[in-house]
Amino acid sequence: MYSFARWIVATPFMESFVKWLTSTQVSKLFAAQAPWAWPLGETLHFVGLSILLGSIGVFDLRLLGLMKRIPISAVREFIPWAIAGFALNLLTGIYFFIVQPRYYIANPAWWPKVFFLLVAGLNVALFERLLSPRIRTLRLDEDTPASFKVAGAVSLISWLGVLYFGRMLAFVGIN
Amino acid sequence: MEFLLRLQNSAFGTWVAESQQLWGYSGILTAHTLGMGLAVGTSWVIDLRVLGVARRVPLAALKHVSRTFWIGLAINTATGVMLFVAAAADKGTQKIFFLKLSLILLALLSDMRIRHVVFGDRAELDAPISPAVKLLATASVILWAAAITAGRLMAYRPVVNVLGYINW
Repeated sequence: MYSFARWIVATPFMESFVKWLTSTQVSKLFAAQAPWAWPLGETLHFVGLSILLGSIGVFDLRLLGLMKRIPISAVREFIPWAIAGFALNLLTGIYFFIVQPRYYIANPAWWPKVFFLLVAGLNVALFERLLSPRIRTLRLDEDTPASFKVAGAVSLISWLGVLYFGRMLAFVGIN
Repeated sequence: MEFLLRLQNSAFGTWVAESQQLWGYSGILTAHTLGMGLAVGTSWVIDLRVLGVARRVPLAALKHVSRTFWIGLAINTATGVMLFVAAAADKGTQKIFFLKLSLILLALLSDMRIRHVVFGDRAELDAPISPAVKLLATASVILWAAAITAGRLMAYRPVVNVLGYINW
């Protein structure tokens, strides 16, 4: 992953992309405000992480077959909060990226983080399209089908992967 | 202060601070973030339910969810002690560190009170949630967010001090 990150940041496309992005007015404005906006952004990123992990986590545990006494459709009412937490982190994440794109593109932890984000997103899309109609047919106290368990496990693993590689950014980055 | 320095310079303190392995400083800090997500996330889910989100979720069933809260809290107590030892002389003299601990303590007190009322043996499961408990849930949401903010400001203390916003 180290050599991949070193290679990709040095490609002509990425070099010109970084050069273009950091020369934009918005990047300059964001960077100028960084002394206060960066710590604020990181704080919000941690708050968003907690909202997302808590609300998606309880839903995933239900998909895995825990807490069968709660109807899945009822736990689903926490999902808008997961989306809110994700939106907060997407916005603050975009802010970080615009301020120093090169740091992230050259960071060997950033690519696995993006990979796990894509897996989590794909998992949500597949669940919504293929599996969510089955929620209504499930009776209370009935065990969840294997497909639900897989979706719940993939979700938990990928969000924890996002968290792990997100935190590792600070330790493997080259400034 | 002498005790804090001795703690920091102990073999264990030095190992935490200087170890480059994945299970060393970076891994401990990452576990601290995971524990935060579990504990605060679970606390907020219970708070949201108390405040009226997902009313169809029976509170009694949500009682089991608080297990992930305790797992998160246990991870963060252990990793928090390790991170403190590694920088005892610095953290032990920061006002913002004690502010963070106080906020966590207050958040825990409100969470325990909420759970005593809504999960306790004598809790009436179908009874409407009283305004006092809703107030506690609001306090819990704010206190945990404030604790996270204090924790983040510990990392940005030099920046914050330079800006002159807070003189900690």
